[in-house]
Amino acid sequence: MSYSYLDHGADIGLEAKHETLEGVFAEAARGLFSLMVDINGIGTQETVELNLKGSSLEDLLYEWLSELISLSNLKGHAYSEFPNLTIKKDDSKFHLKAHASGTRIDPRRHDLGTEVKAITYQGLEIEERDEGWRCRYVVDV
Amino acid sequence: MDKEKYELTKVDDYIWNIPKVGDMRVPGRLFVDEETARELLEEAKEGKEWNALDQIINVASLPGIINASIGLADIHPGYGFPIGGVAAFDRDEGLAVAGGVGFDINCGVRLLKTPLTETEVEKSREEIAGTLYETIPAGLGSEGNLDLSVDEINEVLKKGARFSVDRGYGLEEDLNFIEEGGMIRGANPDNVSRRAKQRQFKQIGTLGSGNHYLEVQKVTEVYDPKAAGAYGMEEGQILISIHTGSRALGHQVGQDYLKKLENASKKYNLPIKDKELVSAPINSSEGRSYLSAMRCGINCAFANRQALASLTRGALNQAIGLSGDSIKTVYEVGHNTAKFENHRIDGEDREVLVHRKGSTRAFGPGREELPPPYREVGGPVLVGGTMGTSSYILRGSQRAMEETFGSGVHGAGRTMSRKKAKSKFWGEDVEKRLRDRGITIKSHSFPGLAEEAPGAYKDIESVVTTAHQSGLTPKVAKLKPLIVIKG
Repeated sequence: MSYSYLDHGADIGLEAKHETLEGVFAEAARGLFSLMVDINGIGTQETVELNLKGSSLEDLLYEWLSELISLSNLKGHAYSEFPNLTIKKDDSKFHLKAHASGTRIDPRRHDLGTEVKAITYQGLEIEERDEGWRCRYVVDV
Repeated sequence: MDKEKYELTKVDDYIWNIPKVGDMRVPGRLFVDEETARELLEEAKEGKEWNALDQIINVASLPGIINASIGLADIHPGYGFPIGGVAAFDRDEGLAVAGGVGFDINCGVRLLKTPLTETEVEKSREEIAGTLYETIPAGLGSEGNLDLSVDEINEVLKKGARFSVDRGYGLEEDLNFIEEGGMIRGANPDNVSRRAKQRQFKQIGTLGSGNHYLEVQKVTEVYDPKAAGAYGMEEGQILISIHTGSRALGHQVGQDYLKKLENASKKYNLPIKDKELVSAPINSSEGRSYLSAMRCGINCAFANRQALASLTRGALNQAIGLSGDSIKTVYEVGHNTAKFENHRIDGEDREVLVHRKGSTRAFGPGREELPPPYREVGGPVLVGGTMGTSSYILRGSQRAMEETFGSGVHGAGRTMSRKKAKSKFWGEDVEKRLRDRGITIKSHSFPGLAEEAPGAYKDIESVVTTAHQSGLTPKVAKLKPLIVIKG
């Protein structure tokens, strides 16, 4: 389980890996928030709930990361833990439920990184490989 | 597309055509130098996953596009459209394309002029830099001084810079020197989601992060005394540039409509070459709704820069007692917009929808959209460098009207990824190196400083040389940064 940055032209690309599908969604989100603040040990005082659907796993990943950017910006939060994350598939759609826990971003306490404007579809992919799940995405900063 | 099909034909030293092949409806046309043309071609032929030439070709295949899919000297890969891309669409048969505007709707530059001399700035450099840094909300998590309600945000979206002036931010006369008078018509807040509005409650009057900045600059060279005179500029003058956009509201509108226009593309059977090149017919309910929401984003950016201009006046007053009224707006112009404009096409006057993604409106002499004092020389084109490099004032021209729907470059294209920039330039080193060159930088983020290090950008000088030599946007003046405030 990990996330790392990728070279991607003008913006920032990220790659996340995990043995499980839910795990790779959580790692992808940690990678996202690590662009904004150092997420190690930021605490879990603030929690929000997410309930999303997507027509494919790519679509669901896009929705997940986009909603996290939007919510974190709205509330001034950064999230580092994603408990109760479940992904289920019914006839035609993937459904995601999760909590996102973190803290309020405070310029006096945190070393700040960059704002993220949006998740892009550019190079967005998610796949199950021999060693587990891997996803890649690019953010517009 | 097959590799062999990529072709560039030279028209002159600064114009290259991409001949119409496959499902392209118009040719591509690049206003770049030979080196850039060669690089673009090589990247496409190598099959690089993300390249600007493919994006120009994709845009050329959209129904209703007129004349050509255009790339300017600062072209680099974007999302759907390339950055530095321009495309005009027929009013009746064309499309509204979200990727032609992007996530930072009406990102642009406000240029202010001051009565200060360089000596006066030198004498109080630290006070000025420190007060601006304290006064201008910037960086992740920063909040503006206004805490607005939904009703007030609706006013922002309808009234633009007028909202800020009515709230006491800035001067009535500022409005005469902003595109559209700081308020574009046809912006109905009903087309903007509640989430987008909520995200903006505390973000009017904030700079943001990334490549956004506020700079105190000195005019080091005047190339076109007549145009500079019309703009009220002279050598040695101290100016202030504010580069930012519509903040979270624009980002959320961009995100919301990507999904809506994907559905519209399917509904109207439009090509989806790229998930970020989704669109809707201009005259469909989806197209009208996007354009209206996008105009709300335009007004949001106008209101934001107007508030920041006013905060800047306050900061200079506090730091050195300069009267706010003595700081005048030279101009404000955006570079991520789609606007209905009249253009002469094949000898006929037509109203078309011009998308400019990372491209500045560069209207030539005589256009009534320009402030009266600028109509004789053409509109100011404000080209931002990066901290440590110069910025330029160019002017619009008749040639730009004929070749690019009155469009010009907007800045330095990025050449190095942010990851590479971070490992190559450490923020504190960047700060020291700039200080050695007489530039004071105040940033809320050291990693951010490294990401935006000047070496990470394409050479602004070559972009501006091409923009000048091509005749689209002749040079008027060069500006050197003295103080830089970043998020």
